[in-house]
Parts: sequence; C-alpha cells; structure tokens
Amino acid sequence: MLLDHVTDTPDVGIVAVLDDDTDQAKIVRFQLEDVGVQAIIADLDMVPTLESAIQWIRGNANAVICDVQLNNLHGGIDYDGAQLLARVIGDERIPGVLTTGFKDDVGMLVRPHRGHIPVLVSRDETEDPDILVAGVRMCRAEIDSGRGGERQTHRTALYIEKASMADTGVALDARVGGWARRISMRFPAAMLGSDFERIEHARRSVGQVFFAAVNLAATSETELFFEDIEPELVDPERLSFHFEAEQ
Amino acid sequence: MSAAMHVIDVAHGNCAVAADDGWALMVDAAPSAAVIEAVAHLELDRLDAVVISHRDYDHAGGLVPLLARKQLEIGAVYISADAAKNPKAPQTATLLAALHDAKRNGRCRVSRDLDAAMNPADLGGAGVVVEVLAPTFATAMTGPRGKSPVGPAMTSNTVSAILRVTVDSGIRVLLPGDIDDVALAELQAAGTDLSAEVLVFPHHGSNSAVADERGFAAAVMRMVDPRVVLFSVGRAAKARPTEEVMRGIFDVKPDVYVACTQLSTGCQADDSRLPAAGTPMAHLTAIPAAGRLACRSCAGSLSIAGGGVIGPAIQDHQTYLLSVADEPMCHTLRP
Repeated sequence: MLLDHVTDTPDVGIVAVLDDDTDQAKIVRFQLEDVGVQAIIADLDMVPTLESAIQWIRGNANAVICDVQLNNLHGGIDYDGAQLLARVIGDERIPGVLTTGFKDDVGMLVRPHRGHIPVLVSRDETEDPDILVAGVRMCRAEIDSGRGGERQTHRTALYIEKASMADTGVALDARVGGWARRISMRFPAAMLGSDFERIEHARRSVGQVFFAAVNLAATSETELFFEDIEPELVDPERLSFHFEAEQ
Repeated sequence: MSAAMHVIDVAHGNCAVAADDGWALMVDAAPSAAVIEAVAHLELDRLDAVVISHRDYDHAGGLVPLLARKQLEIGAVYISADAAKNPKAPQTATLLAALHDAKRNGRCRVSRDLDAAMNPADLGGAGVVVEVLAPTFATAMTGPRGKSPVGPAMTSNTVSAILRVTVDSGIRVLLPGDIDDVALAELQAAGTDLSAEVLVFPHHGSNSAVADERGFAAAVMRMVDPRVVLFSVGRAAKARPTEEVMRGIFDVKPDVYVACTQLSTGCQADDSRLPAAGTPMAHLTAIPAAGRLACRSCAGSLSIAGGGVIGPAIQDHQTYLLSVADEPMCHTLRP
C-alpha cells in the first residue's frame, strides 16, 4: 500500500529518474528533493541500450523512478521502462517505481513484467512524493522478503475473449477465472508463444481457455499479472462432458 | 483440531469451511483470493467435499482456482446443472475447463447429485454432520427456469442448496445460499425444519426478487430461530444488508446477534472513519479476510464452534464497529 507518510528518507538513497519527457522528469526530481531525497535525471542519450541503462543505474543510484515510455519523445532507445525496471529489480535488486501516463501501456508493455514490478503509479500520482517514496520502500520490502499475500499467484483458468492488433503487436483480452467477472485483462499474445504473434493464429484461440498462475488478490486490472503459463489451449465446447442442462 | 466452521470474508459472495480432525468441507467458493488463502491458512491439503449451493458467480467463481490448485486434493465437487447459465459465457467456460482439468488429473470427482434426498453420511465426516435440506429431489430435477411446486418460475437462486452443518458441540449453522421467497414458500409448504443456532442470511441480506424484504426476513427468522445472524457482504455502493431485511430480523428477534463480514455502506457510507489501508485490524481472527488489507472488514472471517461465534470476540467486534460507523444498523434499527 502506498499510504505510508514520509517522515524521514535516508533509507531511500539516491534515486535515478528516467523519462523521455524531460519536464516530467524534472517534476519528479523536484518532488523527491522536496522530501529530502537526492534525485538524478538520466541522460537518455548516454543509455541507449538496456544494458547501458542498467550499468548506469548500478553505478549511480540506489533506487529508480522510471516511466514506461522512454522512446516516444526522445528516440533512439531500444527498450521501454517496464523492461528496464524488471531487470533492475529482478537482477540488480535495486528497488523502483514504474510510472505511466497511458493506461493502454499497462496491458501490452507492463503486463509481461508486472510480476517483477510491484509498484505502478499514474503520472498524476508522481506529484505526490509520499507515494513515490512509499513505492520505493514497498519494492524494497518485496526484494528483501518476497511477494506479499496480495501479490501471490494462484493457478487458475483464463478465457480468451478477444484478439486484436495493437500498436505494439497482437493483443489478447482474457477473463480470469476466480477474479472479477466483468473485467478483461489485456496482454501481448506472444506471451502464449511465438505463433500467437500472427493475428490469424491468435484469433483462432478466442473462446478457448488456458491455465496460468495469476495474482488473484489484485484489486484492479492494472495490478494483474500471470506466470507459469501452460500453453495447451482447452476448448470448453469440446470437453468430454457437459452439464446435462447445457447439452 | 476440534470441529469448527469458518465463514470467510470474501467481500460479496459466500464461502464457508467446516473442518475437524483431518476432514474438511467447503460450502460455496466466491471469486476471492481469500478462499485459497483460507485453505492454505487452515493447512488443508484435502477438501473431502466442496458443495456449490448454486452456480451464480459470487458462489461458484472461486471454484476455478480451487480446482486448479494442484497441491489440493478434493474428494468431490457437488454442483447443480443450471440451464439459466450461458454455456459460452467466460465464467462457464473457465468452470468447465477447471472441472475437466481436475477430473482428468484425478484430483476430484464431480457430482450433480445435490438435493434433500442425499444421505448425510455422504457429506459429513469426523465430528461434523451435514444435512442437505433443499432443494427437494423434484425441484433439483426441474432446475432453474422450471416451474416451482408452489407455482412461480424458478431462478438459480430458488434452487439453491440449503445445508445445515452441525459441529460436534451441537451448534448448527444454516447455509441457505441465495434462496428467495419462492423457495421459502416451498419449504413452508413442506414443513421443512430449518432450525439452527447460526444463520448465514440468504442472498447477502437483500433479494431483488423478493418484493417484501421485511416480510421475507421475518419469515426466515421464524423458521430458523437463530441466536446469531451473519451476513457475507462486501463494502459496496449498494448497501447490504438492507434496512428492510434488518427490520424484518429484529421484528422477530430483537436481541439476536448480527455480524457482517465487511462493513456495510448502510452503516457507514463513506470511508472517512476507516483506518488507513494496511493498518492492522487487531479484532479480526487470523483467518484470511478479503477486507483486511484495505480495512473494509467489520467482523471479517468468523469462526463458529462450542457455544457460537468464537472469533472475533463479540465485544471486540462491537467496539470496532462503534468506532468506525455513525449508524450501525445492528444497533440503530433494533426496536
């Protein structure tokens, strides 16, 4: 939860800020400095590759505030913020908070990495330093102690209800068994296998079910992620039994 | 372990677990992580039976991850056919896939034999007796969309299975699913004994299909005559239980103990008096509760054994309730 109040911030250390919108990066730096946190803005020209960005963070910062979009306004960057932060948290054990101004990015860009990224905040929330600092602490706690109960995953069935073309590739929308009945979760079709990168193949999966482990305690669609994907698709209409009343 | 029944805070929906000496039964499985978390907390690697009262999502949706849990053995799932459910709907598709997956892998058998003709020995175990009081065999065979023996057409709610679970101390808990006035009329006509010390009130304290909620609640109270009434509710914009249901309960039994799993918006509409999310809720039992983290629980997950509700302590629950609610219905609506 992002509701701790900031009283003291020496534990946070130096925070690296990455955003292709330099004005927004300055806002984040100003907010952090306002609560006594030292922040440095990354020069994206100096970190054009994922590996160079990770190396720069490793050498200069104790935590990261990173926007999903790093290439839109800047160009020449071959990774996005979700890819970067997942590596920084998962491999480098450096805590971070992902920010986004585009809800559409959540499904296609963030979802594949959300299991490594416990804290995603909207651009509006970046104006509250309490949220950013609490987010860093929450991520640190997950790095040190593992996922809390609300991020534990449980195996369940997912129903593919739609396949479509999105800006970044083929998208699937699925309903999660045992979670909110009317809300779909969007994700890149390629998460189910390279065949799904073709829209024709993805469309044939509509109406079918697959199994994966999902964080069922998520309270919103933006928190959802899944792992341990079982690629075998089940067609509910071809199962070996049906309820009598449905025959 | 001594026999106990746990009513799980799943927000809107139902789930109850009875457990005793290595034997366990679950009744309904709402789509809430609290269902799985409760199974893990109670260290259950086997549920001897899971009974789904009817196939509405708030009672059956959590069956999907429960069936999919590879480390959990389930003896049998008892679930009714329901012609009112669209077989192509996502919730039906995932349920069928999960049932098929569990059956295929030998983790459970699936039975649609769920009616009042069942032998109690089929469901009970250890020190727990489980009776299926409804639907009748004839009603179960007719099913939703069919005509009730008392006249009107039946819905999924009408054919809800009603279970009475008696733990070894003799306390009886009635789990009536979402029964409506059509089901109640049939039970009254048949003279079915519904008496129990603890009632988990049907349909979360509201029933849009019931024109006279106050009369319905009073009729239920007369038939069950409970000492404790529990509501399995979420803290939703639509307040549950309704005032009319509460009035009907107190019309018949003004001194009955009432507890809701989550704080009803009918008792406190806004969140201004709630503790900040993440604040420990010391009065709750240790059993996982869907409203714990966001401090939306009221009584949270409840445990019943011995003389009645053994957790949370009634005094602690009342103290908490009065600290967060301006007009708790279980206080203000008593005559």
